[in-house]
Amino acid sequence: MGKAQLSIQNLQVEYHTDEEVIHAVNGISLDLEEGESLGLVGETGAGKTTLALSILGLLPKPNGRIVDGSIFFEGKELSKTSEEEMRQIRGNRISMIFQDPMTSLNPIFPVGEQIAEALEVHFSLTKEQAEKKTAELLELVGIPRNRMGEYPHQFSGGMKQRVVIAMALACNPKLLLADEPTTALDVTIQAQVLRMIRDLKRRMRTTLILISHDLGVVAQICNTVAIMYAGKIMEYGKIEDVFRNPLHPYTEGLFASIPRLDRTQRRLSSIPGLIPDPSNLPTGCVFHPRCPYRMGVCEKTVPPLVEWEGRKVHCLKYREG
Amino acid sequence: MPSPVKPHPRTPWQEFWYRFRKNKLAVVGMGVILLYVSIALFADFFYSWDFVVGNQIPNAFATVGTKAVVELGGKKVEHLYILGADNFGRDVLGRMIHGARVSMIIGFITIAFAVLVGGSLGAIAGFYGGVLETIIMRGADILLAIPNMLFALAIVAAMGPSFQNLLLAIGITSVPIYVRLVRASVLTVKDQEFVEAARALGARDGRIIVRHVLPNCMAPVIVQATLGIAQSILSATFLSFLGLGIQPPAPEWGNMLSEARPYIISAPHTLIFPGLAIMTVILAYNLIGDGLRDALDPKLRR
Repeated sequence: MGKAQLSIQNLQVEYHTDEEVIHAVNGISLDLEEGESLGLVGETGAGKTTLALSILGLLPKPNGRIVDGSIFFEGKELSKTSEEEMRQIRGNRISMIFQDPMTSLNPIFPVGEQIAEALEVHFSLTKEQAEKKTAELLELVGIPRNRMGEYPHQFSGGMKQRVVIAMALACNPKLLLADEPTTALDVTIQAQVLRMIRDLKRRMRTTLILISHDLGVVAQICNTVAIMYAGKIMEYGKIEDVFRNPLHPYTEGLFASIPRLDRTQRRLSSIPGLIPDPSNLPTGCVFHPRCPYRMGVCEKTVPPLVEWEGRKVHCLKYREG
Repeated sequence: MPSPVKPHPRTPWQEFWYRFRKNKLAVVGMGVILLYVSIALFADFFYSWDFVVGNQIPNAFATVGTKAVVELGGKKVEHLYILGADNFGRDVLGRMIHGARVSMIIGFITIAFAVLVGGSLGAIAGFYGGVLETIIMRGADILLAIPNMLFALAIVAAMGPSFQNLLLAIGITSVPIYVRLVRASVLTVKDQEFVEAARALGARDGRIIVRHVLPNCMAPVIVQATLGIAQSILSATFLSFLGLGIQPPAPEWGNMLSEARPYIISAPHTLIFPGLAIMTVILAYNLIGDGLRDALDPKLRR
């Protein structure tokens, strides 16, 4: 555990509003080794983006705060790092790809300038050097360098997402957080962008956290997967294991809701019920109100983390001994 | 991979100009303003300062197009009063041309001051929020609660009539509009994803405000500033009319009107022409303002 590049321990994040406290992340522990790629899967509101933002120290101020737990990156505790030091880490050591390429580019600057911005912020380069590096980055993501001076509205969605990726990769980050990078794109473009992220990740040996609600997307890129529900990790393990034999009832439900082509289905199956209100979480296991295997104890006991068949699972079905 | 279609690269500036050009009235307005600005720049080339402030009593109230002998630098010269002469025999056109200088300068400087001060305060208020915002916005509200003219009058009356005080008075009264305007725009822009993305790149607040937030707030400010220049010029002429702005014998459209007031029946040309100058300038700025609004409003594109 000492050599993990990113280590999150019992992280708890809350958003405080005037009326209520929203428990967005409730005790998440993760360890990522260098070069690993982790898929973070969960429904909307499961706390995936909050987790990414807390790694970057960009929780919305003043409402969002880390209540408990710690995040270590390369041995440094990020939640105790000064704002100035965090600023130097952001974009340089850890960078993030945002969900919507349509809005994550500034409409009034040419894309080249926006890619160069990360370089300007972190390194003192001359204009020629920055331009050269920007052109290289553009070619890396498959955009001809002569389009450097064009504006975001002159690019298609997939091209914009490539630009956003180039921005995130500008400083050779050690850790890349991709927040649903393909959700806003067409399926055909999705595949291209995903393949590109995978290749670049291999080439630059970056650690990757891919946030998605799409199990298929995660399967293409990641080697480990963490299934999140209501701010908690339900199941965490090697992607082959989890996909072949899901242990947690929630994971099972997720896989069951993927439409299948090899069987006739009149209706798509779904998990009954809704994700709980994060300001009013159920007692015991957060999943128990929707769980088909619910037992009496589930309402009272918070399931501990159990190592089971080489992965970690939070469920009272699995108990040692 | 080469892109199949080569998009025509049109910078935002070209795009804007393309749309602005379609509004013919705005283009006319811009032409008028350019004409006034160049006249103001080369005022000394048309009429010397000494001539427009010096009395030529024998020619008092010379009518439009009168040719008369004037004294200039100790010599007697034949001079054509294109727009006639006023009660001291001074050339009305000459005084209007030199007066244009004052009006143009006042318009630009006061609004530049207001946009700079109001804009920075508004940006800080909008971006940071909290106590700072409350202090700035309530300050702006207080300034807005006092009628503009009255406030400018009070400043000039307290500090004495001079060109600098006139600029200051009009400048300060124009500030709160820009505070509110910029704050409102900043609030809508600062939550956009590209601002968050810039932050995730490690950009400092200052850089985010100057490079990402403010440039995306400029459209309404540019429109308001153009209309504001018209308002400023009007305020300046008004204050001069009341004798609190530019002091005679220095010419200014407002004080020309003021001096001509008693002769509105006997020598209407002394009043009509400065009045027309004020009217056309204000109209031209308003036309430009409307044109800019149409050209910069993203909702009206195409």
